[in-house]
Amino acid sequence: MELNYTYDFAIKEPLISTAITSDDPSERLESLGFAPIGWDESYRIIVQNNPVNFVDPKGLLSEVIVLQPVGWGSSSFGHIATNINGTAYSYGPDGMSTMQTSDYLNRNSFRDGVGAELNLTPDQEARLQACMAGNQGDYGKVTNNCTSPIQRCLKDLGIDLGWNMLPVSLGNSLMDSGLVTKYNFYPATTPATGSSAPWAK
Amino acid sequence: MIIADEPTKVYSEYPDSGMPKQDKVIAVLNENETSDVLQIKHSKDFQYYRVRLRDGREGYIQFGDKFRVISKNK
Repeated sequence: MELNYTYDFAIKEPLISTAITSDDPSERLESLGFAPIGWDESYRIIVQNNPVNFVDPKGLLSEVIVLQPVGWGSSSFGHIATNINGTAYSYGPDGMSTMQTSDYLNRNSFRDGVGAELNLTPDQEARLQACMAGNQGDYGKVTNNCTSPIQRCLKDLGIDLGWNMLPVSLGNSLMDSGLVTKYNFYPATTPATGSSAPWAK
Repeated sequence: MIIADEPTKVYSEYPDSGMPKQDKVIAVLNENETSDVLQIKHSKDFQYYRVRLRDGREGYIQFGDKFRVISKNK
């Protein structure tokens, strides 16, 4: 499986919204470069034998959100944010920022995103949240970027995804990990305008 | 051109990541006030519109605030 961005958002008519409207989740997933294995009746992606095993009895949520590349700067390779129980953790050059996930996603609705819900125990989720809220060191475009905190924190839980420098490669590693219970789609409601780097596709 | 649907903060600059700082607010567009869009920029997290104010100053407004793009600039 491979996640690729193939958007032509940079050259779309900038004043016309063209949100993804398909009701077919597999179609939407494939449009974002994912290749679903299968779906149950509630659109929970089937990645292992029994999706019922993934039900979180406490209703907690840990979700890694991969956001579409935009512009020419540090987001031209995309971005990763982590949603833990309604709080978005986003790491960048100015450090870790947190805000309500709903507000974060609303302010990112100029680009497509896909969220991968993780199959973690409540204890793991609590540890993940504490880790993400902790000191993440100095930002580095290659060595310590937006993908680093969530990878470090998952590794602390014993979940080693290897090392992924780019958001898209982290998304692919998550897909291959068997850790994802469900994908959530956040299509752009007002697609990004302005110019973007050729590699931001 | 954009039109503010609610009071909209204009920042002198935007951060590389995270939300803009309140000490960077240089003006507030009033409801129904319009402004020309000069450029669209992206930080790690968010999208910004570089706008020119009536007094000639320039600043940035953040996508997700309550304003609408109503026309293309000439």
